[in-house]
Amino acid sequence: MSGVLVTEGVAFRYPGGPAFALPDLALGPGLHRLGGANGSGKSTLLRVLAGDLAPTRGTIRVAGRDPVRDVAARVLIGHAPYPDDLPDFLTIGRALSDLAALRRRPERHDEALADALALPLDLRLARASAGQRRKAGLLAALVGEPPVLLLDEPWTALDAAAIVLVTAYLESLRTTHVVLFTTHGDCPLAVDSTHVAQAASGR
Amino acid sequence: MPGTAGFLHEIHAVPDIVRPFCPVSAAYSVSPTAVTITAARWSVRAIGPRVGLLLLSQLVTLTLAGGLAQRVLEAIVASLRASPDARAIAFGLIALATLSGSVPLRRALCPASLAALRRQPLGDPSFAWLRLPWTLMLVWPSAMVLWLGHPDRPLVVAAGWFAVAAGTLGVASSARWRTAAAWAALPFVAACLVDRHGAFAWPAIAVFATIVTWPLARAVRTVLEGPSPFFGGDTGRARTPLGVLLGLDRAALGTSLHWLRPLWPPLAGLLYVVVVVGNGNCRGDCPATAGVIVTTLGLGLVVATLGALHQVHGTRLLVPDRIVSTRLRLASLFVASVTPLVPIALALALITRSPLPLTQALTVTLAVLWVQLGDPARAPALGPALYLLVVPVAIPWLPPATRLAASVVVLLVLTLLVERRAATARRALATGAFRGRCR
Repeated sequence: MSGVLVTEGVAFRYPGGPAFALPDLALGPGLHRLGGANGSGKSTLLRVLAGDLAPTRGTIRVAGRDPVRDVAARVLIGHAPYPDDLPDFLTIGRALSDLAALRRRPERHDEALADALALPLDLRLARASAGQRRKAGLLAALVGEPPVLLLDEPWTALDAAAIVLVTAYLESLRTTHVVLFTTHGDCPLAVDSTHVAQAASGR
Repeated sequence: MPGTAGFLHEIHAVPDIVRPFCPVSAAYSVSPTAVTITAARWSVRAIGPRVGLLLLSQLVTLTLAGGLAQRVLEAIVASLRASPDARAIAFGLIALATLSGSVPLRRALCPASLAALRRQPLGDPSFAWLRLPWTLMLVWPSAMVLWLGHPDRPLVVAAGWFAVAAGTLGVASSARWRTAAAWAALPFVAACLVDRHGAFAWPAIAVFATIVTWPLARAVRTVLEGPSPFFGGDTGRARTPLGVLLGLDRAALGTSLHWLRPLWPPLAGLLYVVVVVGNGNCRGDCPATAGVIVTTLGLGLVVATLGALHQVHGTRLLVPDRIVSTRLRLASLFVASVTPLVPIALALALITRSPLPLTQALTVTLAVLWVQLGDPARAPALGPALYLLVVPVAIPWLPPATRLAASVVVLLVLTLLVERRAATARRALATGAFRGRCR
């Protein structure tokens, strides 16, 4: 199979918990939706793809590299979990610049988007609202301009204006980036493909 | 409702509006039985384990004042090799014990069951008066000390007893460290005025030093929150990943400065080493041994620093970002944990002219890292770490060169152990098996 993001037989299981299996993927640039019922493991599988969790079985390749064993390859993946995992004690701007420095991409491209989203970069994350944190989490995923974006519930907690803006921004990435997202509500985007996360208890 | 349940229940039952106007009826009165039981409970509390620290210090004072342990005291003072004023030490320890016991004191004198009283139209002064009789009972050894010092001046004894009780009550009621320190100073300031003995000035100086640390703490916080002079700040020149992680830990430590509290044991030890080395009472291998032991006293500081990082980073301590390698994170955690201890170890190394305090600081930090990465719940026990620390600390009979070589070997072994444990924890995190605070 060819593609920027390729998976084969990926599954994950928490110790003592149910197993989550991911359909085999070979994703190129485009907008892809990962569907599934509550508790089917969508968020967990996104964490597996991001390299945050190690798959119980199967292989993952991002641009031919293995993000599970190769920590440096994880720079190719932008991940916006929900809820976000940004440090409460930092300002949004500091958190984003720290992430940029960790990825050795000190130049920032998110100021314009932050302005458009009306997101104050000097706001401490502990004092940010749910919507502001969601915006900060999305900006954090974009740090370093990774070719693959994994977005967990990208529209959750956003106001109407921000939903429109984020939708338009993701639409602009359709031809250049692999965007894999989950959503529970109506999807405001025309997706290129839909994949269903499968829960397989007991395996 | 524990403790004063019956007594308080009766008071709470009286509606605020009605109580000032209505006579105490049978339904709302405090029954003699309830008062007796309450008095008995409070009497037990006054000498109970919760205030044991204060009572112990007062009994020591009583013993010293009565001259009952003169020989023991003289022997201890002689072994210190610093020729201190025994009374100054005693009163300093009492002030410290009072301050350290502020939390159990508050629990004993202002228990949660009494907190509701503050909402009653009693007011704080009335609340204090309500507690004063029990506090006077609690500090009875102080009254004995005063009586021993001034048997023919009952007014001085009464005033001093009252001052000690008021100070103790103030310490118990203070939420802030500085306020508690000021209250703890009250009896000693009163004693300075009445007794005119220089020894009483020492606790007052200690309190003054505590209050001075307030702007110092603010300065430390400003430094921790601001841009780093070494690793770059929010903006400016490009930062290395290690610099970013250190900046992250620096910001995390700046959220609260409680981790600095265990700084005083190594600091006091450093001052002691300065005195004994300066007066010529510590020569030969003694300075190196003293330096190692005092550096080991910094164990609490390292534990508190790493504990504060644990608390702030929570589940992301070991993996603040998924692209951070385990070794890089270990390096940053190590530097962040050892940094508060380095100035003291460096000063000790310069004073004792030995590198052992520096290697010991590294050993202490690695040992704490090893314990905390394994099972955070066991961190307060520190048993395994202390076991490892015994090796370098308990070999003062070896020649300095051999001791240094042994310390280096211990360091290498600890480094290996820490790395292996961190790798195991990281693997456990990736599989979702690690349920400790590192996830």
